[in-house]
Amino acid sequence: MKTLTGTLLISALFALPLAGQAADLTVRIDKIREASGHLFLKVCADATCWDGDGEAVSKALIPADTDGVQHVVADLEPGRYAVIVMHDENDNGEFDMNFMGIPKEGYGYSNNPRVMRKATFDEAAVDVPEGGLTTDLLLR
Amino acid sequence: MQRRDVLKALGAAGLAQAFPLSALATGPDDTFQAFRRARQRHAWLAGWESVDRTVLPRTAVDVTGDWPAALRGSFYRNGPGLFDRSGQRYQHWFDGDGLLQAWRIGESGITHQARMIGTTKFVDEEQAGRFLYNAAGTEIPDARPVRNADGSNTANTAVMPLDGDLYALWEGGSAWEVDPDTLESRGAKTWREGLEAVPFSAHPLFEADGSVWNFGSAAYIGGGTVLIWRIDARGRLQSITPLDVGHRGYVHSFTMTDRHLLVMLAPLMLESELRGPYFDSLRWRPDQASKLLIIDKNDPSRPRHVDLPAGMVFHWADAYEQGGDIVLAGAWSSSGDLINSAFKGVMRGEPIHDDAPSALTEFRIDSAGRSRITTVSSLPVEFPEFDRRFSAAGGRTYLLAQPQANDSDYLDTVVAVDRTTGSTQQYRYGDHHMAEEHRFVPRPGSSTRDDGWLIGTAMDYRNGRTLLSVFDARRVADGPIAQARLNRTLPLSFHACFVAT
Repeated sequence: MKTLTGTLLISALFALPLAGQAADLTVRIDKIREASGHLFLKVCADATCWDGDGEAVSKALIPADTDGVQHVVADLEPGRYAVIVMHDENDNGEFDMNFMGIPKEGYGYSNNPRVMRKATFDEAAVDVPEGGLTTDLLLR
Repeated sequence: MQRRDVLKALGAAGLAQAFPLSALATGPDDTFQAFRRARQRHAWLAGWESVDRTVLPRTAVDVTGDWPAALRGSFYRNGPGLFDRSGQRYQHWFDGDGLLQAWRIGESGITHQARMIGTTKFVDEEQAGRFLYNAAGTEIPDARPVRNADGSNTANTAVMPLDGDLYALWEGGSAWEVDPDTLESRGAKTWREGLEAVPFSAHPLFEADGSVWNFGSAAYIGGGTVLIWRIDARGRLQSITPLDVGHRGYVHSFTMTDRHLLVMLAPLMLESELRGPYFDSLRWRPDQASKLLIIDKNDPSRPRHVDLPAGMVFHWADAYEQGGDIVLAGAWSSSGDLINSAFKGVMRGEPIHDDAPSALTEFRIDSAGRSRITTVSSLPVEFPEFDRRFSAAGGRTYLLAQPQANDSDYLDTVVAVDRTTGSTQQYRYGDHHMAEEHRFVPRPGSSTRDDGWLIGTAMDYRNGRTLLSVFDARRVADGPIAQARLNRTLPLSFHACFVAT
């Protein structure tokens, strides 16, 4: 159960400044089961970040809304990015799992791979071209 | 127990196991069309036709014969009840959403009611008007991913009463609590924080004091772990023990003696890399032995095992210990292929033909681990039942059988096998009937073995009726002593339970 709070307070709602960027990545999440809590969104540009070690391109903490939410990651350098969203439904700052390590709270990946485990960077990655990308992320 | 211990038990492959999805030669659209064509030719396919409504309100039914005054209560049935949405049909019988039925037997007569179980999956799909999620045997085009096993939970296999509550059971995830009176869903049961969506089999066993043993097979997330559940008679979790049994395969049920839980690990194995639906990833490996796990009830954490010939037992009968031997009986088949042949074929409208029908078989394991296997009856049978108050040699085994050819190729006969004499009594419902699991109910106040009734349902598909029958358990060949008649058919259910009032 990874503690989200620390990193979130520092890095929520802003993107790391990158040189020469132009593209916006718009993440749309249409169905959110629980109105409570916050969605933690993380954008990675490589597998190191995805697997938990490297620096995230962007992180955000978004209030949950059963009508859906839309989040724009602005001014990205065109390229491949993978997005993970975890719904901290009870706002305890943790992503809750059962004793077998299976999530109890909502989550989803960009590209919506239908895997019953954590997706890999390659499975979740989407191409963000110069003109930007709008992608629908299915929250489980 | 720590989560990391479980993760370790699940094996390094554990959660890293992939579920990539591949295109199939035939899909739910073809299956829908094939069944529709076959349904016009075969009346018996009513048994696999989706129920036409979500709620069937309580309806009084006609009763004939002399219904025993002491047999009062609720007879619950559960089974897959909805197979189709928007021109798509599931490709495996086990995929259908659970339909719970209740026959209420009271002083003033008998009523019937039914309701689709309001799982998360069912509610979502009902609202959408189409299938949204993959099922264990069917890949739905553009399926939405699920959070965990309960996202696919259909609660469609069995029904468990416990301390006044009622649970519709599946195999891969949580027990699903329902209101015993209205049959409305109360939601997935979490026995304790951290046990959300953890597999809870459809075949729990009860001790005489009302407490429960169950197992759960977590093979689908990798590793070879079986979980042993222990719940007291008040529905409070006592323990859950993960056993790394090194068996990544399908386990359906178990049995027990006074001292031991007995879990057969048949070589119906999951492919290392799951591709497509879960059932498509099961392979029958007749070159591998079946393993019988012998689990000490006082210390479940250290089971021993004995090898048995490759074979599959979906459902067990009684088990007991005698002079150091463990004896157990079940409906044993030399093959586990049925799960991926007939249970799929019937969804396209093909009769459930079984190349290796199961027969009532007794296994005697001595203290040195040697086994002796005896065919008790060569009749093709399923759904064994017995007087569960006893764990000792003798008594009767009640079964359903198909002793002769019929149109549906499905079970149509109630059988009682006397385990002492080997003699068999049979009652065949007759042409155009299909029988569903019958349960033994002891006569109140009597402690004599097999003194009670056998209660169960059968579909008369020619006349479009469902019959609830009660037999004197010791005189099955005489036929039902009373019968209630519902003037409609319903999809065939799997399992039932009786809750006395």
